[in-house]
Amino acid sequence: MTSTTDATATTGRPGGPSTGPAGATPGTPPGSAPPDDIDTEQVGMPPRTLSERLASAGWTALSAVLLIALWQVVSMRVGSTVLPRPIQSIGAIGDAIEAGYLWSDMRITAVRIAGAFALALSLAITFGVTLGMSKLATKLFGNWVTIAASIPSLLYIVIAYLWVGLNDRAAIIGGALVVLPTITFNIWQGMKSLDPELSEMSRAFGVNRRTTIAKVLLPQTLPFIFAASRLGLALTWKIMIFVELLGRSSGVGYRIQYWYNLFNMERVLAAAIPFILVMLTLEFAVLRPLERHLFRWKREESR
Amino acid sequence: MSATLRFDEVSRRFRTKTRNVHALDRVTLEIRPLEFTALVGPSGCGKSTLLNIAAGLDTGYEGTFTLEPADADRAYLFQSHRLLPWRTAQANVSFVLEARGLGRSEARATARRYLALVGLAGCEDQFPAHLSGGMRQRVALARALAVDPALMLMDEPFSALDEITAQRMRGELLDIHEIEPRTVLFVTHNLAEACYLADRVIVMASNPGRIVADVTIEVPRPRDHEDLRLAEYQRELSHSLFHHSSPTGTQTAPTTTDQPATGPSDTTGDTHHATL
Ligand SMILES: Nc1ncnc2c1ncn2[C@@H]1O[C@H](COP(=O)(O)OP(=O)(O)OP(=O)(O)O)[C@@H](O)[C@H]1O
Ligand SMILES: [Mg+2]
Repeated sequence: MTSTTDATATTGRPGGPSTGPAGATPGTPPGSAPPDDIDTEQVGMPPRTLSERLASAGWTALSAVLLIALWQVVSMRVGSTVLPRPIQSIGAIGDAIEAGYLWSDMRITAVRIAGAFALALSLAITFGVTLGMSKLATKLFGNWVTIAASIPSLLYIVIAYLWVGLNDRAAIIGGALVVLPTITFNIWQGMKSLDPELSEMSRAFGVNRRTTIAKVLLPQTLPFIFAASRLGLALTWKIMIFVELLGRSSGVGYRIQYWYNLFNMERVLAAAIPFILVMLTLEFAVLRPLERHLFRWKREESR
Repeated sequence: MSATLRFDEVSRRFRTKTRNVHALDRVTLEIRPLEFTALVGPSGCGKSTLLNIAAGLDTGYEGTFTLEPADADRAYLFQSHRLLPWRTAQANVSFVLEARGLGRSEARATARRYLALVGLAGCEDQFPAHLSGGMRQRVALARALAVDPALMLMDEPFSALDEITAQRMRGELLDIHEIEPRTVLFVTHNLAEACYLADRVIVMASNPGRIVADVTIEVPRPRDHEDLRLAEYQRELSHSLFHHSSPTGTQTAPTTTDQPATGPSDTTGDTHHATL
C-alpha cells in the first residue's frame, strides 16, 4: 500500500499550485513594446475552434482505443483467468448490475468519499492558511505536518476503526486523516506564493482591510486550493477503497475484497472499473473544464 | 484638492543578512501643493523608497514625514504594474474606484474612459497576462489617473513605453495636470522627460541616498520639446548627476540650486558632505 509520504513526494504539485498568479512578471524592459501596440485585435486568447476541439477529442479516443487494445493483447498472452478480456469484463459488469449491488455499492462509496473529502479539505484549508499566515504556528506546528505525513495510512485507518467503531463515521474520519497531511502541505506551500506587492498596491490606494482580504488575497489562494482539492479527491478515492476493504461490509472496496477472496478476477475488475470511469468522468468533464474557466486569466491557459 | 509633503531629516536603512543599505540619509524636502516634482538619480539611490514613504507603505524610517492633509487621497503608479492578474483591464481600474465607494456602473464608465485616454480602448476585457508590458503599464496609469487623487506618486511610469506612446502619455498627463492640477511626485531616469514635465527637478545620489540638487524649471507652459532652455536645464542636471556619481564622494562644490532659496525645502548637498 502507499503511505501518504509517497503521495506527497510523487503527487506533490499537480499543475504547480505554488507557481502563483501568472502575469506577476515585471514589465518588459524599455523599448521592447512594439510601436503600434494600440492595435490589439489579436492580443487575447483566441477561442478554441470546432476543428481544434474535434482533433483533441480524436486524440483522446485514439489513446483510449490503444489502451483497450493493449489490454486485449496482454490478456490473450497471459490467459483470461489471469487477466480477463475487455469483453468479458463488460459482461461481468452486466452481471453485477443484474445482481443489483453495483449501483448501491457505488452510491455508498461515493457518499463516504464525499464525506472524507469535505472533512479533509475544510481542515486542510484551516491548517494550511493558519500555517501560511502565522510564523508562530509554523514554528509550533510546522513539523507536525511532516510527522503526520510520515505515518502509514494503515495506522490512521486502524486507529479510526478502533476509536470510533466499525461504522461509516470511522471510515470517513480514517479516510480524511490519511489525505489531510498532503492537502494541508500543498495549501501551506501555496500560501507562500501570495504576492505582498499586490497587498501593498491595495493599501496605497486606500482600500480597506476587508476588501483587500476578499478581493486581493482570497483570489490568489483559489488556484492552489483548487489544485489541492483535485489532488485530495484523487487520493481520497484511492484510500477509501482500502478503508472499506478493512472494515466495512458494503461499497466498492468491500466488493473487490469479496471477489478477491473467491479469486474471481473478472468480478474484481467489474467492481472497480465502473467507479474508475466515474472518477475519470468527474476529472475530464467537470474539474478540468472548471479549472480552465476559473483560471483563464493565466497566461498558460491561453493554449 | 491638493497635498503638501514634508520630509524632515528622513533616513531609511535596510538591514538584511548580507548587506546594510543606507537607502536614505537625512533627506529634507518639502513638496508644495500643486507642484509637479520630478525625482532623478542613479539606480538604487532611494527614489522608490522615498515614494513608498510618501505612500504610507514604508513606516520603518527615522525622522519625520508629514502629509497635509493627513488623509489626502493618494494614488501610486508603481515601478512594476501591480495589476490583479485575475481581473481584466477594466476590472483592475474599477477595483480601486469601487473600493472608494463609487457605484458599479459609474466605476465601470470611469474605468473605460481612462483606459481610452491611455489608448487602450478595445482592450477593456483583456487580462493582464494577455497584454504587452507597455500596455500593462498603461492600465496601471489609467488606474492611478482614474482615482483623481490629491497626491499622485509615479515611479518611472513611461519607461516601458516606446517613445511615440510615451510622448503621447506625457501630453495626456500634462493636459490632466493643466485642467486639474495636483501634487505630483514623478520618478524618472529620463532627464529630458523630467525637464519637460516638471516644475522642479530633485537630483539624488546614492550611497547613502541623498538629495544633491534641487532645480526649478522656469520655462512657461505649454512647453516645446525643442526649447533650448529645456536643453540647458538638462545639461545642468546631467552635470550634477555625473558629478555626484563619483564613487569616492570627494565632491566639494556646493550643489547647484537654480533659484533663490524658498524656505526650508531648499536642500543642498553641503550638509551631507560633512558626513562623507
Ligand atoms: N525592502 C528592501 N529590503 C532591503 N533593501 C532594500 C529594500 N528596498 C530597497 N532596498 C535597497 O535600498 C536602496 C534604494 O532602493 P530603491 O528601490 O529606493 O532605489 P531606486 O532609486 O528606486 O532605484 P531604481 O532606479 O533602480 O528603481 C537599494 O540599494 C536597495 O537595494
Ligand atoms: Mg525604483
